[in-house]
Amino acid sequence: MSPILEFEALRQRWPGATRDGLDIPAFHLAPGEQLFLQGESGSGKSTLLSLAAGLITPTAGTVRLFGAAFSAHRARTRDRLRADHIGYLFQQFNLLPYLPVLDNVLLPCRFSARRAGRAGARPAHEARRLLDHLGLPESCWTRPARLLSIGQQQRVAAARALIGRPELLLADEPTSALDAVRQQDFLALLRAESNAAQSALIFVSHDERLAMAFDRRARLTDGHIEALA
Amino acid sequence: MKRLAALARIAAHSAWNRRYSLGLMLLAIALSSALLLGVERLREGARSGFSHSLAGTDLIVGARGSPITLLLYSVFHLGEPAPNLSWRSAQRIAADPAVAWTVPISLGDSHRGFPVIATSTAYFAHYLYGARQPLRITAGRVFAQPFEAVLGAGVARDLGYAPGQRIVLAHGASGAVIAQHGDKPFTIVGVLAPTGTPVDRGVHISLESMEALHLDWQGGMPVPGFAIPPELVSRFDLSPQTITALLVGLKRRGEVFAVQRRIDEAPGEALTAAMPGVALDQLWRLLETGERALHAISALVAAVSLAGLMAAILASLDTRRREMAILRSVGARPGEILALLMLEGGGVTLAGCVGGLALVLLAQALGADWLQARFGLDLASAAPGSSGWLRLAALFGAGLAATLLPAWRAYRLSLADGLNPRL
Repeated sequence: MSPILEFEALRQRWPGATRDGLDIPAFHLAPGEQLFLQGESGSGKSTLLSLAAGLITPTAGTVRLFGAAFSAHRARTRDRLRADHIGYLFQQFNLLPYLPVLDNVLLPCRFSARRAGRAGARPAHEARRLLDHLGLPESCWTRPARLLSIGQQQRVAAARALIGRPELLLADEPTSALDAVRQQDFLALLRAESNAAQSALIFVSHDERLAMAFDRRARLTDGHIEALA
Repeated sequence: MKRLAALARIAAHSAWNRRYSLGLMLLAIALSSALLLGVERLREGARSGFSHSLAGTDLIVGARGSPITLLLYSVFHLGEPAPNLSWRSAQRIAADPAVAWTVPISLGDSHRGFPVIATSTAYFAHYLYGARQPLRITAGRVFAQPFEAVLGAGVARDLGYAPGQRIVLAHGASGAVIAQHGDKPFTIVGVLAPTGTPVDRGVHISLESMEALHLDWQGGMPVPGFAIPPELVSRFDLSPQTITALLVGLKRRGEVFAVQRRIDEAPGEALTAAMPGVALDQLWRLLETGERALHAISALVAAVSLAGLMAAILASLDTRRREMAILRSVGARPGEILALLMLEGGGVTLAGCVGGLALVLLAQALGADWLQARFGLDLASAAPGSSGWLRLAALFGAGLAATLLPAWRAYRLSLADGLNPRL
């Protein structure tokens, strides 16, 4: 199967920096594949995710999405591709605090017809199903996101990233605000749902203990990726 | 379209989240647009009220003085009393071969705040208003003998009077009543149809009644220990000594300048003959500076409230950077972030303009009668005129423009921040 995401001879150097922030000769992710990427802060994690999401373009080399040169597109096209194919799960969840939970989950469907289409005939049904599967009590669904606990907000953020079955799920330290037991619970849920959605997953964390669940593991050090056994 | 609807929904939620600061902005814009509209309405109301009130009169004659004072006092019962002219001069003018009719007007008394207009029956025949409409009696008849009064529609309505009732007049204009003419009550014999002019506020009596009221007065005071009962007044000569003004209608309008010059230059008493239209124009020119200042002030107030809107949106940007990054992450384009901010600013400005319009209409509905009575302003027409709409549109456009700067900054920020706002 052709890879969903590829980096080719990728180098990224921020303006004014004396060395490359990222230097990845080759990297690929197969459809549905789940990767644990371990890295300390400053290792280039955020840069890598920004490149994968098409928010920035590399200094040299190419980012490919579905085999096409993602990084060669104009910003506007990258915006559309990101909205259509990529779910993003933030460390800080980044819900719109004033918007009701269901509206937060449905945000990707509002901006991407493709995500709305893949969420089924009634995206709102799919949003409810996801929230239910992720264990968020129904009483929360119509409340503004800011009234929820941290753990609940995390589940809403996960549902938002998963809705419309994006082919690629990028998760940036999404468990760092949880205690150890809840971390494992949440990770299991996230993996199960991304499996069900057949989404490829890049799960970025500094915490090696979470790596156990993943078949494929890698470490990012000073901008270099090395595979872990 | 769907995306725009989604944006509008998000903008609405976001705005509701900041409803207090935005509410204050909306109020400020509503008040300033009300001010902008109100000033314009008052100006239009004043002009239409004044020019509507008198038609068909070619000249107003009074004692030598300012034509504006003469016009304001004798027709609109506003401002300082104009000096009187002698009855003899009035009779001489009436005898001028070019003059078709004259209507004398004598002021000075009042009834519960409404001015008493002493005149002749020629008043009901020749006084025209609006599009040269004559006065019309809706109930009763015109006065025929002393101590009979014909009420303007407003007086009858406000005080609940009908023909047959008896009223007592007071000496002195409203607010400066010296004494009541309690010994000589008047009978209401007629009520005029509403005109929307100062006529509605008038209590009309004959010149003879006015003389009869003051037979036992001297120097503006009742003479102590001396009273003439009403049934005896007909034994006295009741022709007036002086009147306030004389309305003059000519046989041919073309002779107006010649007649005016004849009156101005007549030997003996020094008189002023004013053309109502010219006097009004002089009045507008006099008021123009004031109007311009009012317009400038209301425009400044509007500018200040728009600057406030701009500052409020700019100040909120830093706390909203995360919000914008989130929207970017779910597929909103930078242009849509721009649209979101424009939508909010435009929405607040539009709501403010509509609120201001509602305020003006409400104030107009509640205060039109009072303004008409107190200042002779005609605010009868409900909608703002074309210049009012133009002002509202200009305010709305300026509001959108004021939103552009913060929106542009948000656009730049959302481009630079991507998904990770540097807070």
